[in-house]
Amino acid sequence: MNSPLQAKLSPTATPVSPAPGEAYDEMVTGQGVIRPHWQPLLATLSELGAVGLAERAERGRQYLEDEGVTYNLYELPGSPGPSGAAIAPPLPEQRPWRLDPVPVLLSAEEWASIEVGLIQRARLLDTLLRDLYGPMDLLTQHRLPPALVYGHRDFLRAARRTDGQPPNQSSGRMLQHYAAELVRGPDGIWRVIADRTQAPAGAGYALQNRRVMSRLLGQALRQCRVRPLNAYFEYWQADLAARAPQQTDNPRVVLLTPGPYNEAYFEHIYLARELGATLVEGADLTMRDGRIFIKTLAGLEPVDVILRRLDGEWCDPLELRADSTLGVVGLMQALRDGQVNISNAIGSGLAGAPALQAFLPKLSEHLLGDELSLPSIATWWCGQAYALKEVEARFDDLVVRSAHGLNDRPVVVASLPEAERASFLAQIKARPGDYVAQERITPSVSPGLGEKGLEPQPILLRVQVVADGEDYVVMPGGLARVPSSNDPFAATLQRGGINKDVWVVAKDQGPTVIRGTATRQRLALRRSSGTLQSRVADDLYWLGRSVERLDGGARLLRAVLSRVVGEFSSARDLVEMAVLARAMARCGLLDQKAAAAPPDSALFVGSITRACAPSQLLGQTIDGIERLAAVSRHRFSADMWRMLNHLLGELRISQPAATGDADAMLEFCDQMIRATAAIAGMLAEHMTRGSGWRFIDFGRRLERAIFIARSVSAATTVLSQNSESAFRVALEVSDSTLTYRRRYRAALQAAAVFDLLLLDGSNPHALAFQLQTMAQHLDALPNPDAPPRGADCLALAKPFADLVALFDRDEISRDDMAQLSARLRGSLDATCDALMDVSDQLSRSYFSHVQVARAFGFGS
Amino acid sequence: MKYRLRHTTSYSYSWAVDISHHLLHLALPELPRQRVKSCIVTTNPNAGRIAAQVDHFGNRIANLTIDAPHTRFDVELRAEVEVDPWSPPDPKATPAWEDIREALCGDGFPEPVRESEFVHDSPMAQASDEALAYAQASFAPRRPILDAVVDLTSRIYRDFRYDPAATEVFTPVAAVMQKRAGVCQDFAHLQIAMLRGLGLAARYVSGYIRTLKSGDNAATGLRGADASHAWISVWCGPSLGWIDLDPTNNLICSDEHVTAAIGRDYGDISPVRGVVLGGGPHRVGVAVELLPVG
Repeated sequence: MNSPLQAKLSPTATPVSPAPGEAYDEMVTGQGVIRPHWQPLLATLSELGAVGLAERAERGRQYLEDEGVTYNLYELPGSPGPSGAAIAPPLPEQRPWRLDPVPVLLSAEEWASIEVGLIQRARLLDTLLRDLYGPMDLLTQHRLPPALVYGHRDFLRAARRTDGQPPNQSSGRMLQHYAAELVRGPDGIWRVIADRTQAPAGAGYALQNRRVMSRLLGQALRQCRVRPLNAYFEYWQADLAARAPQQTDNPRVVLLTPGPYNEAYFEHIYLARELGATLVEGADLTMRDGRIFIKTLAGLEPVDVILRRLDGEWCDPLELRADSTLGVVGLMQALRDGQVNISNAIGSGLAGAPALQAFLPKLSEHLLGDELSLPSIATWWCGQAYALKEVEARFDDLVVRSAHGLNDRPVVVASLPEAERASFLAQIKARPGDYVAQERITPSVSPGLGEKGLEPQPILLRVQVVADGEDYVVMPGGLARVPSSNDPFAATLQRGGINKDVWVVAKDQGPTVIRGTATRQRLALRRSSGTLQSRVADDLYWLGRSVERLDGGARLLRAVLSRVVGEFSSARDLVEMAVLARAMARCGLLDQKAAAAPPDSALFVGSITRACAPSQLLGQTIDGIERLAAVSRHRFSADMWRMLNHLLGELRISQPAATGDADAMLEFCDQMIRATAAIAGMLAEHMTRGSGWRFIDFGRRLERAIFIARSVSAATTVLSQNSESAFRVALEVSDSTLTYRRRYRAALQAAAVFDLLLLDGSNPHALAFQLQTMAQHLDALPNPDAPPRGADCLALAKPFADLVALFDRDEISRDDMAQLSARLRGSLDATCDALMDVSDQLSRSYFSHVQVARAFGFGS
Repeated sequence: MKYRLRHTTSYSYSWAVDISHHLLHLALPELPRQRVKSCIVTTNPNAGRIAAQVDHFGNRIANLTIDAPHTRFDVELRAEVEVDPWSPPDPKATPAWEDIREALCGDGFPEPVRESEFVHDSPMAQASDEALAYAQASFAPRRPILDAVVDLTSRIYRDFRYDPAATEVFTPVAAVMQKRAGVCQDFAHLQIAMLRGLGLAARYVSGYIRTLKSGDNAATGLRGADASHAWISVWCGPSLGWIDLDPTNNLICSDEHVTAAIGRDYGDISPVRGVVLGGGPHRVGVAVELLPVG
């Protein structure tokens, strides 16, 4: 076996002593000896050899892909994601999670010191936060520069208690979970680079990594006696439950996510499942009488504990950022009232300010009466003269960032051109208090699978800590990351890079439990999948409507285009095009001016051939479907999701530009109609008949009912003059021409046409069919007595039976026809309005308050 | 001077609001020169529960929710308040402005801890190089602080046009600087950003200015009397403390101003903040009357 690892495995290899500044090697000592805790793993790796390892890596990649483990890529790291939900931008690009098959091993002894150090640090940061959000003694006693608090963007004044109560009332702790970024320098000492105290990501990814690793290297995992991770999540879950303000047997815990736009959305779904929490967005929650509730179709259900993955400043538009649409209005008040608990407490991000690290040793002695056991990397806040002098002396070896958290992009001084360094230093000296500088440190290296086999790669550790009642516990192991550049400061989760599992060797000889996927308790059998959140129902309803809107629009457009292409439009074509144009205008697909223009005019033809352009309604409808499908992703099976994605992707590719090529447009119309048919088939075939399906289908039926009413109404405008054209168009756009021909051959008569399009409960393109189906759905919803009721929908069909009967006679004079068609048109238009009301009532009964909250009395 | 104050704010919505949450910074505070005889806030529709508390800055705030559909929301403050007149110190006899700046910096650990909060940028009073350059003309080396701030106040009064049409609720300082126009809120944000840019501590004060009987307004020309008013407060050292100045009216405040709340900028203490669900386009009406009594 000719693995590049062989040289290192051989005990006779030339000793390499680490030169000062040279990276510490996690696996090999300075004498070239493999550290004992690595030996079982290396035995496995050399057995596998390069080929075997590459094969495992590929299998790992496959597992992760099958599980759909992704993170979203952002242009701007650190942004909480778009907050204006009204115009939703496209979803961010999803990147696969990359996992190196070679873990990082840490001995029981070195881990013990990390563990002790991080528990102490969590206590320290928590104590610090409770002071700063309460009495502020640390500032008034001159133990911490006030500029680091008052100037920092993460100091959220609305979270401060001035009444002597603890900032997080029902439990003392402000910091429930915490993650530290660690680096081991050339001297072999672990130091903290950064404290993540806002809503630290990584625990879910770490667990996911471990599950994959236990499949790839299960044997080695056992031989190395690696400490399992599962207990950590049990501690976390128990601590969350213990935070419920009122003692209940089964407190409702929710995980508040910023939504699918967040870079770690996958982890939010994963963590929610692991911790038994309901995944919610801000719009799913509401505050009433100081309590927080989750809005479900069945009504409001109280929430006891919120695990937030949303940065503090976005959590309540009333008291924090007014432009946030991600938060819960009134949350701050509910927290002050002690009716709900949140982890971490709002404002906890402040403890992660890098400049604080310069003061932690003294604060530790003051607050805990203990020396800080795990050091930070050397840090200078430039707001003190002595620190500024130090910074100036070693400027080229430093990394500089904002002391106030204003810009998370650190400046590596050495990477600046010589000339810029002087001007940067001058900039710092002009406002020294705005800057914090930290030493650069060469991270330790650990073997990883590179392009040419195993190679030493720099690593950073992200270690997770969670509260356990009065104290904290540390996840034994976690996440190591290989920064994409050689600069540890540049490595963040958003920017990606390669991840590694961290194996901590157990001290005792006890059995090591490998976590499987078995659930903890036996589940009670259920036939429905619990209560559907109103927001999800809303999204599904509009997904149904949008799909049907696309279908109707494509049918109208196709009917016009088929009359535009070809060399010559007959007089009959022109009449029919005018009818279609009217229907299109009613549906918002064509502006009034173009619709009124003669069908052979340049204005008309031009407008028609632009109707599919991305900026027009149809194009926007496709965007809408894409967005709604993506946010409802968790309601679909993986297969369904893949098919939806595929269909929408194809539409995107073939969407014609506004070139005016009628033939290409016609082809595209066919494609849209095929796509909507495929989606409809998928929904019918693959979705459980629960509330979710009902809302999608209700949306489709309602939209189709509106479409029928509009298109038949447009047709009645030419009924007395050109009845045949009216009938032909109406049948064509409702896909009922074939059915009609089968029943009545070629003879087009008013009563027969209207019976088929309006009254026939067996024709899936008839108005009555839509209304009956809508009624069935409404009767089956959790609250069948709330408006709109099924009976209301059925009542809408009633006038048409009498109206159609009036057309059922042998001879109708032109005048009578004009009068009758006006009556029919009136009823159809009234039905359209009534259907809009039905939609509004549905919104009020089931999605009320899903609407975007608007803040005023403040800037935006 | 004793005053009777009435401040009403009315929101009319195009259609029903299902639920609204409000945060009020209305209740008047007790201050060394301001005594509150009575202070009542009422709303229509009636809010079930009003949670009153004190915010980070020491202001009295109230949280309320109206959860029955409504198309109109009125909130009214009625108060009786007495403000003592005050003779400001001789501006020329105040400390040099650099000494104040040094005290606020204190090599990282300033003695005036709480005051140092107001040295930092805040969301609505962001530093602007142009504004700073403008201010520097008033801050010659060793000039007494109040002398310099009074000079800056009168330059703003002279150089900037009072024009309610020029700006909106949120107009950044840099834009006000370019337009050379705005309203009281803009002038306050502008001057605050300038003073902070120099390393001084400046606060935003919201409140009311004496309404004169009809006809009198033109004579005295006090601007900002028909709505809630805003001005600034600058820290002049431990013995003088905070001194309020009104750049909109070019004066050092005495007993014609009633203070409602103090913060870093308007965003911290906007009188009536709200988040509504539904409602569509809305109109706001504000009326203020601050009349001397007795």
